[in-house]
Amino acid sequence: MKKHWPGLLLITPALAVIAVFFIVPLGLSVHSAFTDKAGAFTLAHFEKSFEFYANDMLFTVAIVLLSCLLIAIVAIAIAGYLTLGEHERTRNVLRWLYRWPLFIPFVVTGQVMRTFLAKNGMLNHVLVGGGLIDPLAAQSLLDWRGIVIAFVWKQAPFVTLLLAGAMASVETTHIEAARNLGAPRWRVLGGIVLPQVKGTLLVGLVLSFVTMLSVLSVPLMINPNSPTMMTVDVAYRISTHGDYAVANALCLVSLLFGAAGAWVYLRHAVKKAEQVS
Amino acid sequence: VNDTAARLGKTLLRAGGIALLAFLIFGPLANLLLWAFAERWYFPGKIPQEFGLTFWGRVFEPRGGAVQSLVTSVWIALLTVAFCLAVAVPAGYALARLKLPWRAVILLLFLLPQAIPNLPIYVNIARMFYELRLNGTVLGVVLVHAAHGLVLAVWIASAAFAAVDAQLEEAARNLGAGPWRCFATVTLPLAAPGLIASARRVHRHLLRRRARRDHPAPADVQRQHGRQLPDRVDHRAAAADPVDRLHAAGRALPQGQCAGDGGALTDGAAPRPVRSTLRPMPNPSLPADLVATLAPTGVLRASINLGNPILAHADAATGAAGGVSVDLATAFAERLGVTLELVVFKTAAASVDAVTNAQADIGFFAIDPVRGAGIGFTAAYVLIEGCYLVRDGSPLRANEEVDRAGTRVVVGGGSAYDLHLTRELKHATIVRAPSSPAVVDTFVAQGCDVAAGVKQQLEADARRFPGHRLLPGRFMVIQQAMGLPKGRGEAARAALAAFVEDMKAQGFVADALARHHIEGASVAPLAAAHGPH
Repeated sequence: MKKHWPGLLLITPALAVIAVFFIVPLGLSVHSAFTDKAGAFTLAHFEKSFEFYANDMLFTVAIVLLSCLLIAIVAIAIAGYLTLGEHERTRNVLRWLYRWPLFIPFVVTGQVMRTFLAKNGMLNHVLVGGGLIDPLAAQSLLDWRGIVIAFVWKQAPFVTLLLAGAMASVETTHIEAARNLGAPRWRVLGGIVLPQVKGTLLVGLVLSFVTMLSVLSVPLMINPNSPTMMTVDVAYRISTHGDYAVANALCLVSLLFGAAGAWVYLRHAVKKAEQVS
Repeated sequence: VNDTAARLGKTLLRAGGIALLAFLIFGPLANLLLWAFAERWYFPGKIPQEFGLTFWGRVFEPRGGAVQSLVTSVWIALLTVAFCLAVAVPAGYALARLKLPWRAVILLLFLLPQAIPNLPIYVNIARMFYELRLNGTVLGVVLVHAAHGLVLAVWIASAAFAAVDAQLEEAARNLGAGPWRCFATVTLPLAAPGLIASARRVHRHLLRRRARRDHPAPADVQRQHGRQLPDRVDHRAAAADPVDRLHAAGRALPQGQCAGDGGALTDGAAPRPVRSTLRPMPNPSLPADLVATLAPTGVLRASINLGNPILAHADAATGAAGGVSVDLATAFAERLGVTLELVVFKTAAASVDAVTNAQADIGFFAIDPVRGAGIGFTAAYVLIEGCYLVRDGSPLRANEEVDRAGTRVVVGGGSAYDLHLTRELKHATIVRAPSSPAVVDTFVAQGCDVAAGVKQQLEADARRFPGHRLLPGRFMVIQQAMGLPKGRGEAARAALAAFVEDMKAQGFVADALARHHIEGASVAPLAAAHGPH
C-alpha cells in the first residue's frame, strides 16, 4: 500500500488556487443560475436559455467538433511528416513553419482572419490574382466557416506540438522494421505510430475542445450573427441586459459540454491505467 | 529518365506543399501587417493606396497610455509565471508520478477552468475581491491570472514529467540516489524543456488577457495617476451622507475599482495602476420613488441615435451600439441600479419621437427650442461643431457666403442642423437627406452646392469622395445634452442634470470621447447651476 500524503502535499497549493479562484466563483455562478430575484430556486433561467439559444448550443457543438476533426487531421499530417518524412530540409522548414500561430492570441487571430477571409481580403485577392476563381465568384468566408478556419489555424499547431513530441518518443526500431518490410509511410503512420500516441492526441484535442468552447473574441469578431456561439450570447446577456442569471445558466450548459470532453479523456486514462496493471 | 521525372515531381510536390502552408500561416499575418501601416486601403486595391504611421502615433501618444499598459502587463505576467511555476511543478509531478486519491476528480478540476467562458467567473471573483479589498492591487490581478495560467502549467508540467522515462529514475534510485537527488539530477533536467514551454505558454496566455483587458479603455490606466484625482476627492467631499459618499467614491473610481479603496486615493497613494473591465455592482443611490419616475418600467430604456457618429455607432463586428451616449446611458442605469435597455434609431428625429412619446426614458439630443416642447433637457455634456462641405472648384470660400439664392444645401432631415439651418438660411434652398450619414451621398447624387453636417462626418466623407473641401470655421456649434420626457417632472430632470454634471466633472465624458477616438467634439463646461434650460 503506497502512501497518499506526498502526492497530496505537492498538489494542495495548486488545488487551493483552483478552489478559491475557480470553484468558489463557479459556485456563485451556479447559485445565480438557479435563483430568482426573491432568492428562491428556479429553472426559469435555463428555460429561457433553451428557448432563446438552443440553436446556438447546437451550432457551438457542431463548430467545435468539426474544428477538432480538422485539427486532428492537420496535426496528424504535420506531426506524421515531421516523424517519418525523408527529406531533411523539408522537415526543418516545416518544423519552423507550423508553430507560428501558437504565438498569436485568439483576439489577434480573430482580427487577422476578419481581414484575411473577407470578400476583399487577401485570400480572395490571391485566388483571383492566381486565376483560380472568377472575381465575381469571390465570397466572404466570415460565417461559420470563418470561425472553423480561425480555430483550426490557432489550435492545430498546439495539438501538432504535443503530437510531434509524442511521436518522436515512439521506438524507432518498430518504424524501421516496418519500413524494411516494405510498408508505405502512411501505413506506418496509421498502423504503428498513431496507436502509440493516441492518448496524447486525445489530450490535445480535449484541451482544444474546451479552449474553443470558451473563446469569445473569435466568434464575436467573425460571426456575431445568429446562429452564433454561446460565448457571444453570454457576453450579450451581460453587457446589454445585465442579466447575469441567464448568462450563468448558459455557462453551465457549456460547462456540461466541456465535462463531456473531460469524461472522454478520463475514461481513456482509466482504461490505460488498467491495461498497465 | 523516369526516375528523374519522379524525383522532380516529388520535389515540386514538397515545395508546393510548403508554399501553400506558408501562405496559409503567414498570409493572415501579412494582411494584419499591411493594415497596421495602411492609411487608405479601398477596394479594389491589392495593397493599400497610402502607407503611414498615424495609427501607431495614436497608440503611443501619452494619452493612449499604451506604453505604460505594456510595462505593467509584462511585469504582472512575469510575477504570475513565477507564481504558476512554483505551484504547478509540484502538482504536475504529483499527477504524473505519485499515487493520489480521487485522481479523476483532481484531473477534472484541472480541466474545468478552460471549459467555461471566463466572464462570469471574473464577475464573481470581483464580488469576492471587493470584500477582500483586492481589487486594483497587483496581488489581485496576479491571483486572478494565476488561476487560469496554472491550469495550463499543471497540464504541461504533468505531461513533461510523464514523458520522462520512469526507468531512468529507477536506475538512479538503484544506484543509490535519494528521491531529491533523483528528482534534481534526472527528472527535472529531462522535464525542463516541457516546463519551459509551460512557462512560456502561461506568459503568452497572460499577455493576451492583459491586451484584451487594456484595449477597451486605455485612458483608465492614466486616470489612476492623479490627473483627475482632485475632482474625485472634491466630489466625495461634497457628498454629505457617508453612504452616499461611498457610492460616489465607487462611481468615481475606474471600472471595477473597489469602493473601499477610496481612503487610499484621498491620501494620494493610489493603488498600482492595474484594473479590470468589470463593472461595479449596481449601487442605487437615489430615492426609490425617483428611480421609479425615471424608469417606470423597471428598466432604463435609452434612446440611442446611430445617425450621429459622435454619439454612437454600430460596431462593425457585432452590430451592437457603442459610443459616448451608450457609455453615459450605462453609467446612468448603474446609478439608478436598474437594467439598461437600448432602443436604437437611425435618425435623430426618430430618437426624439421615442422620448417625446415616452417610449424611451432618456435620450441624447442636440439642445433645440423646438424639441424643448416635449423634452426636458440637461445642460450640454459635449459641444459639436457643424461645418459646410463644398466641391474643390466651388466659388464659396466662407460660411457667410452660403446663404444665397440658388444655393442648395443638403442636411440630414430632422437633425439639429436641419432645425438650425431651416431657421437661419433665408435665401438658400434646403435639401433633406434621409439621415445624417447620407448627407454627402445625397449631395453628390443630386449635384447640390453645399453639404452641412458634423465636422468629423464631413471630413470622413471628404476622404471617401476626393475633390471636396470643408469651409473654414463652423456655422454653428451644437450642444449635445441628455433629455427625458417632459411629463416626468422637474425632480427627475434635475436628477438627470446632476448626473450629467457629475460625469463632466469626473472626466467620464472626456475619457469616453478619448476611448471612442472622437476628435473635434469637446466636453461642455460645467453648468453654473442645475437650473432648467
